[in-house]
Amino acid sequence: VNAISHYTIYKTCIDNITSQQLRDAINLLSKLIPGSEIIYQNETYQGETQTFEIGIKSRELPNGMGFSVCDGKVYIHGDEYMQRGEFNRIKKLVEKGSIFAASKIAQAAKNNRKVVTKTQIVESEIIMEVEG
Amino acid sequence: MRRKITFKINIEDGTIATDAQGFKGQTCIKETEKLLAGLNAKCQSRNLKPEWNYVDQETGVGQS
Repeated sequence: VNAISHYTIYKTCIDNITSQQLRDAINLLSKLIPGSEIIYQNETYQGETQTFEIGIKSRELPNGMGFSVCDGKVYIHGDEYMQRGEFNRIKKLVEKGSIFAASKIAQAAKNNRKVVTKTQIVESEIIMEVEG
Repeated sequence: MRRKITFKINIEDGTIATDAQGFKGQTCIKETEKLLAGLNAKCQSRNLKPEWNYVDQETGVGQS
């Protein structure tokens, strides 16, 4: 359980996302961030436990952040306090849809018997290479 | 040459740039579009490489 002081839920503009697509995207994101781990809850400063469908925590994101889906919309849970840079970087990856795009391309590659040979975040891009 | 498609997804605006290597003819576009099928992406511009017009005389690969 990760303690956070101020809990916020952001509604994003990403639409028509399923819970499975959310989980696939955040699992992919976790693979792209060295040392990160998947979480399912964190704790507010007041000691209240907040749960979400899936979340992520890392050295640069020690209090973690969570994600959920309702009616196809993605919601971001958490607090940027003491982790502002990484929190906002990941928030942008999610709310602008790039991590979902990468995840969907990876899934399409698998469905078409192709192999994703490289995926990485380089500055302002997610770079993915598919062979086969 | 191995067939490879590179996707560069811009984090700031969500645009996706693709680069196909090792393909002959229009198969590169078909293969790229298969991988983008779930994204409802619209093509903004496309630059064709010299091998675009290649047609294998034996197999017909690349034939429109």
